[in-house]
This record gives sequence, C-alpha cells and structure tokens, in this order.
Amino acid sequence: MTPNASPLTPSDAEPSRLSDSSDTRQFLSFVVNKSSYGVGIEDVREIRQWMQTTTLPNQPKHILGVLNLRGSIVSIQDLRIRLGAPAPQPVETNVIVIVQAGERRVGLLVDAVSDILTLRAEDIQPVPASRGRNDTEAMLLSLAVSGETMVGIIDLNRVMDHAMADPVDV
Amino acid sequence: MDQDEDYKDLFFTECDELLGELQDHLTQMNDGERGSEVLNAAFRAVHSIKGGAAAFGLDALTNFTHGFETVMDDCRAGRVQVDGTSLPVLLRASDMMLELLEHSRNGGALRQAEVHVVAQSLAALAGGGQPPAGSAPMDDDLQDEPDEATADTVTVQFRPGRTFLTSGHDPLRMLRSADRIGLAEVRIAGDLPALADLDPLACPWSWTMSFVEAESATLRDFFSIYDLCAEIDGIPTVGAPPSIPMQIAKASRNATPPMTGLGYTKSLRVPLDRIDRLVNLVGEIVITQATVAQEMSQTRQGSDDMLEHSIDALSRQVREMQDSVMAIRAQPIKSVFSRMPRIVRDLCATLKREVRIEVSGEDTEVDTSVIEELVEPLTHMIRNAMDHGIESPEERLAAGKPRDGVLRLTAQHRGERVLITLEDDGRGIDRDRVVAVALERGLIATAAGLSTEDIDNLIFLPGFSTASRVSSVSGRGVGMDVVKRKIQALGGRCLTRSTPGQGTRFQVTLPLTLAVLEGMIVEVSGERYVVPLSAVIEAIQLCESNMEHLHNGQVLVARRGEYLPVYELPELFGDDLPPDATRRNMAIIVDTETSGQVGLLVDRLIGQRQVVLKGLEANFKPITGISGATILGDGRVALILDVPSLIERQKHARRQQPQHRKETA
Repeated sequence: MTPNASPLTPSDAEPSRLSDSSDTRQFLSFVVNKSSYGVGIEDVREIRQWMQTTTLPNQPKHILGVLNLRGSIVSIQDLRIRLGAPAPQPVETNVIVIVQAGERRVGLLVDAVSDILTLRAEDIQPVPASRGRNDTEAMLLSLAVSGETMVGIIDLNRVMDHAMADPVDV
Repeated sequence: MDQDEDYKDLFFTECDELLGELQDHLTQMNDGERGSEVLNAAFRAVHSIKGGAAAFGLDALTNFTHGFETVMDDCRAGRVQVDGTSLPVLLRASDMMLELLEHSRNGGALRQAEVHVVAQSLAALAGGGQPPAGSAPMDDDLQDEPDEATADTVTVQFRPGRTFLTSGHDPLRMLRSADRIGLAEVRIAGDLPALADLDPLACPWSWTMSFVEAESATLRDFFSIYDLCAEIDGIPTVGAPPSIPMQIAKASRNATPPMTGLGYTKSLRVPLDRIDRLVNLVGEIVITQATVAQEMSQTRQGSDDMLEHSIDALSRQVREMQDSVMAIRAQPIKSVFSRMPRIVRDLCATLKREVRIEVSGEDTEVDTSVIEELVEPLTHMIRNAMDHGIESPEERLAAGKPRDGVLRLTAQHRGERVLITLEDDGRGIDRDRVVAVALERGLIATAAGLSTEDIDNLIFLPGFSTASRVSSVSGRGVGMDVVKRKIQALGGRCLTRSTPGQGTRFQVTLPLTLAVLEGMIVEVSGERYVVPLSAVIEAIQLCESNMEHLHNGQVLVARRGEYLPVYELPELFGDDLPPDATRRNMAIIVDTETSGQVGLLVDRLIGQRQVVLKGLEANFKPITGISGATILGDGRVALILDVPSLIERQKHARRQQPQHRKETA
C-alpha cells in the first residue's frame, strides 16, 4: 500500500490518526498478574464486565464455564491461571475480553483492560527461544515494546488448542 | 452456465422425489394394486425423469430410462402384465435408475454390467407382451384422449409477420434448425412481388412444414422463438411435459396423462437455512417471553390481572408458534425408509440371502435434522441384520423356517420421541460366542453377573465383531458401535433384544427434533440444570427411612421395594463434594437405559419447560455428559445433563482400566 498523503477519507481515518499509518498494528492491552499482555484488536469482539459463569463438568481449572453472549454460548477461560498465577475468585472489577480464535469465540478473563496500543512492526519481536519454554511463553506469539513496558502478544490459536486438547476429559 | 447448474440441481432434487414416488407406486403394485391411476403415476415419474435427463444430456440415464418407460407404457396399456415376473424387473429397474442418477450427480463408478443386465430384462419384457390388439380395457380414459404427439406426422403452418425479418430471423437458418428436429417436408407459398413493389423488410412467403416423430414439446420450444413475429398453427398442445430441446430416440408414444387422483398438496420449496433462522428467532422469543413473565411475576405481585392474562396468552401463542415452526421442519420418515428396500435387494444379491422387508409407520414425522442423520445408522443396522442375523435360504429351510427372511422396519411416535424398530427372524444373537469374543478382546473382565440382555448389548461395544469372516458388507468390527455412537450423538438410545433361533430386535429411540427439548429444570448447589423430560421417571422425597448407605459410600434409595443407586451431581462432575454438603432431600429418578434407573440428588425442582438446545461445540467442544446448553429466562446458561453418559463416565473413571479409555474419548 502506498502511504496516504491526501486528505483523510473516511475509510482510512482509523489508521491515519497516527503520524505514520503504514506498518502499524493495533493491539488491545490488558493486565494479567501485574504484567501487560495484548491481543490484535481485529480479534477482539467485545469487552464486558465479569459475570457469574455456568461451570462445566470435568474441566481444567482455567475453564471457568460458559456465558450467554447474545444467544450464543461462549466459554470463558481464566487467563490469569493460563499465565501461571494462582487466581482468586473473579470479582466484579475483572474484565472478560471476548475474542475470535479461528472459528470459535472465547472469553478471556483478565485483571483489567489498559489501553489500545499502536505498534510498528519493528517494535514486535519473536519470543526469545533460548530459555526453557514454560506455559506462559508457549501462550505468546511475540513480544512488543511499548514505551517502557514489555507487552506479551497472546497467541489465540494456542488459547483454543489448549482447551481442545486437554486430556482431563477422558 | 451457472444457471444450467442450478437447473441441474433442481432436476436432481426433483428426481429424488420422483423416484421416491415411483418406488411407492411399485410397492403398491407389489401389494396387489393394479389400478390405472397407479400405473399412470408410475409411468409419469419415469417419463419425467427421462425428459429431464435428456435435457441435461445425461445419456446413460436417458437410454436406460427410455427402456424403462417403454415397459411402463406397455404396462399401462395392458400389453405387459404387471405380475410376479414383471414386478421384480421393474423394482430392479427403479433401483438401477437411482444408481444411474447418483452416478450422474456425483460421478463415481457405475456397474455397467448390471445396468446392461437390467436393461436387457426390461427389453425382454417390452418385447414379450401380447400384441397390442387395441383391446386395452384398463385405461379407457387414455384411449379417448386424442394423442396428438403419437401421430407420426405433425404439420405446422408458418406465416411470418411484418416483424419477422426485422427481428433478425433468417428463414434459411430456421429451416435448417427445423431439419434437426425431424422436419420431413416443406412446402412454400407466396411469391416475390415485382421489384418496384418489393418491400425488402417484409417476408413474402409462408411455409407448411411437416415433422415426423418430433416431440410436441420440442416443437413447441422450437417455434416459441418465433411466437411474436409469425403466425404458427398446428403445433400439438398437450399437458406440460418438461422441455426437451434435444432429440430423443423414437417410440416414446406418450403424452403425459393428466394429473389425477393421487393427492398432491400444494407445497413450497424453501431453503433450510431460512427456516433455521426462523427456528432460532422463535427460540429467542421464547426465552425473552420467559424473561418478561419472570420479571412481571417478581415486580408486580399479582396486582394486575389483565396483564397477567395477556402474558399467559402471549406465552401460549409463542408456544404455538414454536410448534408450527418446528412442524415446517418435520418430514415423514418415509424419505429414509423408502431407501431401505433397495439396500435390502442389493444385499440379497451380494449375500445370497432371500429377504423381504416390511416397512410400516413411514408417515411418522421427524425433524429434518434427525432424518438426515438417520440414513447411515439404519443402513448399517440392516446390513448387520442381513449379514449376521438372517441365515442363508438353505440354513433356514434346515431350521424349519420359510425360505425368505423377513425384516420388519417400523417407526412410531412414543411421547416426545420416535421409536424405530428393526426386527429380523434370523438366528438371533449367539450369546456364547458374544461372551467369548468380548472376553477374548478384553471388552469385559468377566461374564459373571451379565444378564442375557447385557450380553446382547455387548455387540455395541467398540471393536466388537463376531463375524469369523470379513465380508464386504459388514464384519470389519466397525459395525454396531458406530451405530450406537451415531444414535447417541443424536440424543437417542439403542437397545437390542434377541431370542435365539427366532430373531433379533433393535430398538432405537430418538428425539423428534434436535432444536428444542422438553426439560425438567432442577437446582443443585445454586446452579440450575436441565434434565430431558423424556429421561425423568419421577421425583421422590428422601428421608432416613428410605435411604441406605453402603460401606463403599454408595447411597441407595428404596422405591417401592426396589433399591436404586443415588448420585451427587458434583461427584459426577468431577468436583470434590464440599465436606459440609447440604443434605439434599430430593431425588429425581432418571432412566439411563444402560445402568437402569438411578436417582440424582437435587435441591429443588424448578419446573418443566421447553428449552432451545444450543450446542457447546460451536464455540467450545463437546463435553461428555452434557448434551448441550440452553439459555434460561434470566439470561443465564443452564447445562442440559446427559445423565447416562455422566454415570458411564464416572464408572470408567473409577475402574481406571486402560482398555476402557477409548470408549468415552
């Protein structure tokens, strides 16, 4: 795509809000266990307050259950547990980020939503492979630097795969 | 081109219906019905398929159907008797037609030799009839209808109008094309006026064209192009046979007989997804309606009679609307059942069996979603019955049975479910062998304590197959467990009961629909669940006197002198039971069919309600023991419990035997 030097047209209003519109991506960032994580904004469907889920039988701890999302049934995962922290019972200030992972829609429970980040391609790097990959790192697609903070970009495919392949349901 | 494909699809759909009708009519003839109405209807079905097939250039189908049509025509004219010799041929021919149709639709291999054999026997029938001495007493109504299309020569007067040439028509091209559809002779009238008077835009001639052996429909199609710019006389008018733009082999001396008698209800073809959208929408309305009713009852404690009445009326109407919408999706189970005789006939040949199938209850209506899923398991069950159940004719005679085996396939409504039964009069299940095989394959640990019924149902275990030889039909060890899994996936159950030497009966019960479910809503530990009402037997109050605690922690409840095991839902869910678990004092008795009747402890019964089924797998994955979920009036999700599989799952989890792992995976 050629950079758009002409006056704004409605269709490119969104990316051009920033100085350089070419190679940037937007992410929704949120806080889990005091660290910053993010997902591509194009995958986010909606953000909603925590509400009591209906629990499912014989599921791993991070599957909190299901919710009614305007007529369709969506499962909710506790991202705090997935990212390796013991999580207390969710409270009302917790937030559910509903994302589209492939063909499925899933809700991710996070501590709080922080911001919408616009990052340039060079700010995003692959996860360093040197260290032993623990659960948390396996969940990450890449790392991004935004100002002073490091943001872990969540791999949504991993989020779903993990839930599907779980051996708990014999 | 795309449009062509669309038409083709439409044609195939139509053929399915026509073939279904044809099979029905042939079955009626088989049952002794020989009236001209049935014969005509059967002929019409074959004729329509031929017409369409020719139009789409499906040569194999056209040629075969043509032979079939000739015989059917002879049948209705009385030249061929419909009897024990001709009927089997006609039945085979209709099967073959289905095969050819499937071949035309999906490609795939075609059993050329078989087609040829059947075509030959059809030809033999057509040739072997009595001479058509004009004495066909059967269809007088056909005789008195002057059959213009059968007349060998059709003469058409063609007088071009003023706009003939200006419309771009060319007399020479027209005559050349006419030549291709059987033009035999042309006479020309009129002459060129003197040059001074010549109007170059007017065509001074007219033609008289004679066609030999041309289909009237073809003629009509041909001349319809000139409709607006010429006067055309002499084209035969007949009913409305399908358009056939190509030439068709001769000897089709048939005008389509008028539609008579056989009930045609007016119908409309609607894409299924439109109906589904409606079903979903109505489902949402039911939920919203329930929410409104709930809110009302909470906020205005009976202060407004009028409003309450209106809400009641609304709920009734919504309910009725839901029923009507579901009725749109309902279809007679015939569409599945009518395929079965063909499968039986095919298998008879492959397996060297002589079996006839008796079908009843084919008008039982079931939701489309169920019908589609039913073909495969039913086919499998029939194969199994014919391969393992019914003996060869020799064995049957030796056992003092009639030579022909009988399969009985019935469907009937049983409350909110449909019950499908397949019975054979074969050798029954060899229980000793079943136990031996089950032990040998490690499917069961011991045969002790198994009732005869338990043994019969062992054949549904995965990896079970008693056939000592592997045939192409069944016996690869993927038989009955596949059937069971499929039926269970549909929310159904299957059972078998067998009498050695006398036969086996398979019973399948299925929900009428996969979209809504009549459920009992219960509350357990603050969470609400739906138990399908079809599984609930009763609810009983618990007290010290009717409960019994076994040393292994199992609780039993006494009910009319019988002890039933009682389960805690949190346990079945794999959660730890809180040590201070409230003593629940109510249990609902659920019929599991696999583990008999069991009790499920609940805190409270909330009520009985029709709920809209929503799958968990759309956004998540299927979970053992949960057949789906629904959204309650307050917007919360309630899980629909599949109590039998919850209990099965727990049993397996307890036993922890590795070979049982696969079964629930």
